[in-house]
Amino acid sequence: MSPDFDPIEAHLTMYMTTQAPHAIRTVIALVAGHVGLSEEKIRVIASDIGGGFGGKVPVYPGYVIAIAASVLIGKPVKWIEDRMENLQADSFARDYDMTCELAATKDGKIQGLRIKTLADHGYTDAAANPSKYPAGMFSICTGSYDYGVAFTEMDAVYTNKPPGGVAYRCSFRVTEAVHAIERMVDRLALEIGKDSAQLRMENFIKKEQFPYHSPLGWEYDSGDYGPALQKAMDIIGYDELRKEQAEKRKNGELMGIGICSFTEVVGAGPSKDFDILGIKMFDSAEIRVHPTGKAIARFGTKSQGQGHETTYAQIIAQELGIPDEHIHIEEGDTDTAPYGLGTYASRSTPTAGAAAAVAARKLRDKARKIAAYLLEVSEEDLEWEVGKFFVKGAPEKSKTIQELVFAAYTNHPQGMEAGFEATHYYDPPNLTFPFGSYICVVDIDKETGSIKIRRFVAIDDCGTIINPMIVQGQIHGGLTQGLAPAMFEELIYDEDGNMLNGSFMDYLVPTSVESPKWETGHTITPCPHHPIGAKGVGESPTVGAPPAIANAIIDALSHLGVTHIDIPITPLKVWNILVEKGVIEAV
Amino acid sequence: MANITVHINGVAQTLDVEPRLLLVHLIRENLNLTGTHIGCDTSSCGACTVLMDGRSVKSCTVYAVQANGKEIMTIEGLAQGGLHPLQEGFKEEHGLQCGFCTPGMIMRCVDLLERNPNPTEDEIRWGISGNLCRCTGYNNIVKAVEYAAKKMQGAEVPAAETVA
Ligand code: FES
Ligand code: FES
Repeated sequence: MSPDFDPIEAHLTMYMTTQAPHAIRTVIALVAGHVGLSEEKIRVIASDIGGGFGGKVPVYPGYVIAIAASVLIGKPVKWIEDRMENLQADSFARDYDMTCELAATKDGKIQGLRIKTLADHGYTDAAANPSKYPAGMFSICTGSYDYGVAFTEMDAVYTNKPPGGVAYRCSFRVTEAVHAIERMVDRLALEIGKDSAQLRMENFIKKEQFPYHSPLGWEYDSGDYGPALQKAMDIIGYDELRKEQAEKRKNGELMGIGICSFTEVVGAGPSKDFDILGIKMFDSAEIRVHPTGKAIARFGTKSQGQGHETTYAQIIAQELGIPDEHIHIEEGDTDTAPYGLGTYASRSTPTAGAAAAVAARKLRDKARKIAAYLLEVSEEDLEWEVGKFFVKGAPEKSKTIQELVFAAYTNHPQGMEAGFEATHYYDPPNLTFPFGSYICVVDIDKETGSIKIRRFVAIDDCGTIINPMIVQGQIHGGLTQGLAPAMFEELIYDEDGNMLNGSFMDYLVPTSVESPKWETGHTITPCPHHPIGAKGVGESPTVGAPPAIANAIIDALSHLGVTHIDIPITPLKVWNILVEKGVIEAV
Repeated sequence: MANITVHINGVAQTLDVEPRLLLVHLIRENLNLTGTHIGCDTSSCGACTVLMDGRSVKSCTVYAVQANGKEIMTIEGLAQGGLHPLQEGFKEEHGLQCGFCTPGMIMRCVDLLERNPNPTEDEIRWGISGNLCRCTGYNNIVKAVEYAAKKMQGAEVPAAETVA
C-alpha cells in the first residue's frame, strides 16, 4: 500500500490492495480523526488488487506505520509485504481443533450434534468479524440435515503466532463448520455400515421444509439437496465406482470415494444482525445514465477477479434494457463510489448485485412515468419488455429506454426531477444459503502413500446464475483452494514457535499438476428474497472440497480401521498409517 | 556499475546497472514495464516469467547483466497488431480472474507452444507447473492454451463452448 499525505491540504490518498476500501477509510478516520485525518480528506483507491480471498480485508500494522510515516514526512511512502513476510507474519485462517459428537438411531437417522472447538487466534484476533458473531457463522455446522438439537461452544485461545481468524474464502468459519459435519456424517455411515450417499439422502432437509429453521438459529432460505447429490452420483457413476472399489479391495488396491453435501451461509448481511465496528453490512449501487443512454454504475464492493464488471453490467442490462457493453462499472475509489463494506463472504451478488437490480428498477419506474407522458397514456396502460415501454394492445406505440433517458434530460414532464440516476443501499432481509454436493474419487499408491485424485464432480446450486462462465470459473478456482488445505497447505511451527515453512519452497500451493480436471454442474433453486434470486457462489467450492477429499482418502483406508485423519492429508501421513496397519513394511 | 544493452520488446536499451540487480527489477523499476509481476522470493511462482532469446525464464532468477546483448520480451511486447492467440485464448476461455499470474503464465505458454505446437492436456499441465495461479483452478488456463494451439495452427476456433 502507498499512502500519500499532502501536508498543505491535510489530505491523505492511499493506493492500496484492499477488498474493503470504505471500511478502511472509516477505520482510519475513527482512530486518527482527532489528529487531523478527517474522513472527507481521506481517499482510498483500490484498482487491480490481485486475488484477495479475505486476506485483504483487515487493517494491518504495516498500513498504520506507512500512513504515520507519510504524515510525518509529508511524502508518499510505499509499504510492500514480500512473500516470506506474507507467509510468516500475515494473518492466518483455520486452526480449529474440533471435537464432534453425532447422535443417531441405529439405522442412521441423525438426532443431534455437539461440537467443542479450541480456536487458535494467534497473538490477536485478525478477523473483521460481524460484531455479534465472534465465532463467525460456525453455527451453520448442523449442515444439510434435519434434526432437532445441536450444541456448539468455542474457546478462542491466544498463542504467539501471528493474528489468526481471517475469513479465508468463507463467511467467517463456515469451512470449519462444514468440515466437521461432513466428516461426522461419513463417520456415522462407517459406524453403522450404511452407504454414505444413502445416509445423506435419508437425512437431508426436504424441499418442502424451506424456509427451514436450523437448530442453531438460522433460517435457510431455500434448498433442494437430493437432486444435487443425485446429479453428482449420476455424472460420476457412483454405483459402478462402489463396485470397482469392492473389487479393488479384494486385490489389496486402495481406492476411495468421498462425498460432501454442504450448506453454505453467505451474503452478510441483514443490518438487524450484521455490522462491522457498528457499520451495518448493507451494500450499494449507484447508476447514472447519460443523455445518450450510456451508463456508469458504481458500487461499494471491490472485485478482485470475480468479474463484477461483467456481472453487474448484466444485471443492469437485464433490468433496464441498456446493452451491457454500454454500462461502465466502477469500484474501488472512495471519492466516487457509494458506501459499502466491500467484497468478501460471497456477499457482492447478494448485496451490491441486489442493490443494482433495485436501483435499476427505480429507474425503470421513472422511465415508465416519462413514457406515459410522452405517449399520452396512463402508466397502467404501459407494458414493459426489456428495452422499451409500449401501450397495451398497441405495441407500435412505444418508447425505447434510450428515448426515455434522452427525454429525462431534454423533455421531462413538469414537476418531475430531471436527469436519470438512482442509488440504492440494499439491506438484505436474510442471508443466502447456497449448497451443493461434491464427489471425489482417489487412488492411493500403497508403496509411497501418494494420493491421486482420479475424478472430482462438483454440483453447485447458487440460485439464479447470472453469468455461467464466471460462476464456473469461481468454482474451479475455489475447488483448487479447497484441495490446498485438504492435502498440501499448512503453516508448520516447531515446539519453540519457529515457523518451518515460510516460503513457497515448502508451503505447497497446488500447481496445475496436483489440481485435477474439475468437472462441474449445477441445479438451480432461486433465493426467494433476493431481487433476482441469486445466492453467491465464490466460497462454496472452498468450503465443500476439503471434506469431499478427506472423506475419499479416509474411505480408501477405512477397511483397515482408519476412521479419521486430520487435514492436510499428506502422502507421509498415509504412508505412516499403512506401515502402522501392517499393509507395508518400513524399510 | 555495469553498462549493459538489453533489447526489450524490440527496442535496444543501454543502461548502467548494479551487478546484483535482478532482471525483474530492471524490467519493473528501471524500464517501468509493470506487466511482469513478482509473486515470491524463491523462484517458485512464475509471475515474473519473460522470454529471453525466445526461451521462458523466471526473471527474478536472472541477473540483469546476464541479459546483456539478449532479446527480452515481456507481456507488453506480445500483442502485434491485435492480441496474440494466447491472449485471445485467455480472454475467450476465461483463463484469468485477478490476472496476477496471467502475464507470466502467457509468456511461459509462448515458449511451451513454440517447442510443442500441439500439446496434450497433460503436457500443458506439466508445462505450466512452474507457474502458480491462485484463482482459476487451472482448468480454463489449459483450455486457453488449447485454444491458442489450435489457432496458431491455422484452425478456426469456435467461441468458448457454453458451460454446464
Ligand atoms: S517472482 Fe516468483 S518465480 Fe519469480
Ligand atoms: S488469475 Fe489470479 S492468480 Fe491466476
